[in-house]
Amino acid sequence: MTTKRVERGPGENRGIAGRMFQLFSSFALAIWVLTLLLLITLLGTIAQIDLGLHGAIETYFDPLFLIHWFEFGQPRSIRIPLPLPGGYLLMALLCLNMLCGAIIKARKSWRRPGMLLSHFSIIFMIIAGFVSFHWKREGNIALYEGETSNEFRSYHDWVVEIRDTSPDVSTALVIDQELFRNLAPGDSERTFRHPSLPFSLALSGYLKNTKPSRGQREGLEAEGFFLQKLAPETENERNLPGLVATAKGSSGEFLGSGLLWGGASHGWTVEADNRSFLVKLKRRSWKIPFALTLDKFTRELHPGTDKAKVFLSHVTKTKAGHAEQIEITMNEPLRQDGFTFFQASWGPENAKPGDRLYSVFAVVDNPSDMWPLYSCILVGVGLLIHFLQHLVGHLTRAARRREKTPAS
Amino acid sequence: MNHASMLPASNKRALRPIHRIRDRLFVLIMLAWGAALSLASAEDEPADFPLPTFAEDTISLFSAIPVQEGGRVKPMGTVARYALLPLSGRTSLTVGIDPEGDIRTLLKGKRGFEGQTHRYSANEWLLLCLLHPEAAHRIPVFIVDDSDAIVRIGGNPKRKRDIYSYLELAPFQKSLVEETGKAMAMEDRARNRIDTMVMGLGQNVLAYQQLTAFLTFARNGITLGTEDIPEFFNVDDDGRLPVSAFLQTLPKLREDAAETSPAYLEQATVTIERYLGRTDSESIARSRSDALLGKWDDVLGRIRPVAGLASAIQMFPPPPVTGEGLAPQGNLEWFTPSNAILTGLLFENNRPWAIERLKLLEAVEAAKTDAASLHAALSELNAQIRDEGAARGEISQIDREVSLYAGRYLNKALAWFLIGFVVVGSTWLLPGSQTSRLLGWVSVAAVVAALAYLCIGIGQRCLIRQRPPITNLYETILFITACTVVLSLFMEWINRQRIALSTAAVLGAAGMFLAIRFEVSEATDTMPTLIAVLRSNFWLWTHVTVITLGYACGLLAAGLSHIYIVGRAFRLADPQGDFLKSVTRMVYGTICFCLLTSLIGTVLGGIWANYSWGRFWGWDPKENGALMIVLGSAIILHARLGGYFRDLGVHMASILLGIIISFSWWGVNNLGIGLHSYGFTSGVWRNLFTAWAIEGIFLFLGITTWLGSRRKLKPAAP
Repeated sequence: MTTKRVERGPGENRGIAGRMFQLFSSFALAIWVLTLLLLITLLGTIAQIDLGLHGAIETYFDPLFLIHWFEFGQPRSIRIPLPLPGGYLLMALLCLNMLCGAIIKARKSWRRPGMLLSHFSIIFMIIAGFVSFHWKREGNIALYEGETSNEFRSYHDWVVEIRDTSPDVSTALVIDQELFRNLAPGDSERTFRHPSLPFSLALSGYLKNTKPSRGQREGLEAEGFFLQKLAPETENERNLPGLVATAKGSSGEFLGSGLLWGGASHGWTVEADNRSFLVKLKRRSWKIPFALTLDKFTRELHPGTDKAKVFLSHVTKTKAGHAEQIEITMNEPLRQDGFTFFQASWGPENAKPGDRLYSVFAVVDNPSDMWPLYSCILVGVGLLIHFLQHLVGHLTRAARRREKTPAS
Repeated sequence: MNHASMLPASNKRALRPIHRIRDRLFVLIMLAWGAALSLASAEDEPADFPLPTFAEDTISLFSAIPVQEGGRVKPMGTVARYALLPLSGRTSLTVGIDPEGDIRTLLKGKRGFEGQTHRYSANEWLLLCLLHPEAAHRIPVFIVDDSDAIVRIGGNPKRKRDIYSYLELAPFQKSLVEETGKAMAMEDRARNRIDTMVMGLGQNVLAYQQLTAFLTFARNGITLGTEDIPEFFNVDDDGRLPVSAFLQTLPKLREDAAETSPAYLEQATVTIERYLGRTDSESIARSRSDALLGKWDDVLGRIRPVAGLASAIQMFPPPPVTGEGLAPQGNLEWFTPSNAILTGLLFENNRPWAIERLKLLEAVEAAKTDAASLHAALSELNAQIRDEGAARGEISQIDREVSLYAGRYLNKALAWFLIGFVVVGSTWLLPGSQTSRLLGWVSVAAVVAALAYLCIGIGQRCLIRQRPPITNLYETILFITACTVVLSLFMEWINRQRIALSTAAVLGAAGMFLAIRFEVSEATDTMPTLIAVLRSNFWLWTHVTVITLGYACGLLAAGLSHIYIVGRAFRLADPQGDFLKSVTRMVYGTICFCLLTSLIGTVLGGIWANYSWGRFWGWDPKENGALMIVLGSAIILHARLGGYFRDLGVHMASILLGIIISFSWWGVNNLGIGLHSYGFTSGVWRNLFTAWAIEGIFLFLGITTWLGSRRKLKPAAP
């Protein structure tokens, strides 16, 4: 068996840069990164019980650093913090480590092509994850039979939309959630202006999950209306945020304030400069380059049970006057113009036979959509070559040993 | 190699006396053989047992009748198996009648019991429930693990864990229903052990009642009374007539009613509408206001409760014309006798169809006291269902499923693994001898035989389901065990030191034991229909099979590492000797294969997710479990390559990898979160923590061994 290996590489004895290279290409770093990644994966998995999937991803896997709290006692009265690197940082370090250690520093030999190939593939896979993390857009379209849409809504991202209600204006301004979701109640408000707007909009008091309150006069308040703070849901898609908006005219005069709530069907109206604007807190939406119509949704059950056998949506895709009929079902999505449409769910849950149903399609626009597949093929080939080389060597040595050792 | 060479001198001396048992080895093997055969053999036949029993060929015939349940067509035997398992925790009941005439179910076998006994297989027990419910009520069949559950419902507890008959529980049924309702209303986490037990008991009693009432319509018919009943009904002295005869008489009833009441047709419409749940209150009120109409409504209405009792088993492929309100899924759903009665009542087109099928069941009921007649009636019923099922292409796998359960492949595999283990164990006691070599080959044969039984079982399941080998948690146990044994035999072929062979026998037996226990604890069909997203043979073949192979490799490595740690800790072998070095080589190679399969399996899972849901990686608990296995394997290989782990370190890390795999395999399914909800099961955490505590002991042994070796390396004090 191999014992401690002497590591030599291009970075040796070359000052700080060389030492840095030595560090980043070392087995020690690889082991530490892999171990910490295993640890945060375990902790992040268990944390999903309390935080939900989205909460755990935001806490453990997306950030550069995190603090994990070990909680003991009833009811969890003792809390011990453990600072840890986050999933993003660990993935970056792993990528760097493999690049330095397994690609640049490693001996390039035809005797070990498998290792080179497989490490390269994993770097490629992590890069695919990086591209997906930063540039993927995902959301859904819910369509009743007969309905048509050409946009999809995000699961998790919210925006404040300001739309001029004049019939001749078709564009709207949006404020991204990154600009207001850290405005906790009690903090100072943040004001937004735009040359096309005759007023400024100040936002404050963002709450992640709220509901309108009639009896309870606490939480967010504006002009006698209240939004009650709720505990965040573990399924992030169910959270309905709320915040307070205040409009001021160009000379700073108060035009009014209102509550923006994610569950509201109508927005808050601001009148300024003889124009009317609708301000709304809504899920971010994106256009798709064609229209999709749900013609028929079929939900087939296993006979005598409530277990779904088939979900099938018959849709019509219309683009530039050309209509095409398509079926979307589980495991058979529609891929079109860089977008992918998946059969995600259906409703209403309590629908009776004959009721009108809606079908929900998950929509994804991911630039690195197929990269993991290519990476998987490469990593499989690489590891297979490497381990087969080892296995053949081992079998050869074992046969030699048997030849040398007389039967006992 | 010479196995004696790997033992320290002191140990060799210690082992010498054991050689004396060489002459007794034959006896030992025969005992193991006997134990194995006892697992696989049927028990004795009854003579004149006081409770009703059935002929073996009649039971076989009954078990092969196709029925539809849980969304698929399966043999009656499968229904019987998963009807008895949740009630009693077993697939057969050994029933004894003691000299006082008390009926007992013998939980620990009939050894020491004085009196007549009979073993009721699940098939025979179900036949008894259907045909002789009064006898079935007397047989203790409801297992209660804690007598506090009986106290809760106001009953009379027996031992702490005991088995109760329906007659013993029936007096407390009202309380049982109330307590079950309370427990069901609670949230899962709020229920304590007794709540869960009471709830299970209540559900089991209800299921049992449905089975024993199933043929009530055939037994009692419909009671019309003797007054004011037209002669053409031909009721008996008690005013009863068979349901099929009642349906046959309906046209005459129509003629008769049409003569006496022109409003009959309107009334018939109202009745039909009411059955279909579409009647408005006005039409009901109108029908009740008319005395004559009310009378006929009453007559027709009496059939409904009779029909309602016969809904436990979907026995008949549907009629040519399916009616709305009877079978919501139309032509796909088989009919219960209850459906048959109602369709015969409501739809004239289906009436002959319904009468024919109800007569078949009435004939079975009528023939129950005569063995030959019963066999003939069941044959006719079976032939009818099979003909229709075959025409619909739905029963092609029925006989295969019957043979799967009748073959008891897992029990036989368990027996042969145990034989293999005993025999290979005996070779360790006789190192280097001719007998040892001979026994080595015997143990290989035993393990191969066990593997063959296991593979037959897996293959049969694939053919029955027309699916790859793994579609649910139960099947992962079978597949992982088979893979572990195959890999072990491969390693044995390379190393030929009986290390991997021993591991194959131990892990094989453990896997079979786990599979059998899992089936008992879950007590549900192990071949359920698949949810929509799993209905993809391509992904089941690729992702699921490969990732499960990764589990198998990791568990095999962990199993082998136990041998190393025990060998090192108790100084049974030289750390630098060939034996322990071989173990390390095997573990290292297996972990390499584990990394390959778990990495590819995990990435394939991501590709499936991307293909089906549009996201490659979602940090779902099951995905994270797979990632942890990949990371664990990669850590071990890199630490070994970098010189951070020596042999002992690799083996301790391998055991930790085994713990991670057990968490990924069983633990994450039971966190109550995530998308992979196919594998939720109860009582797993206790077993997992027990297993991890045992692994903790091995890790502790490893640590003490490591500390001991470090002390030896330190220079002596001056």
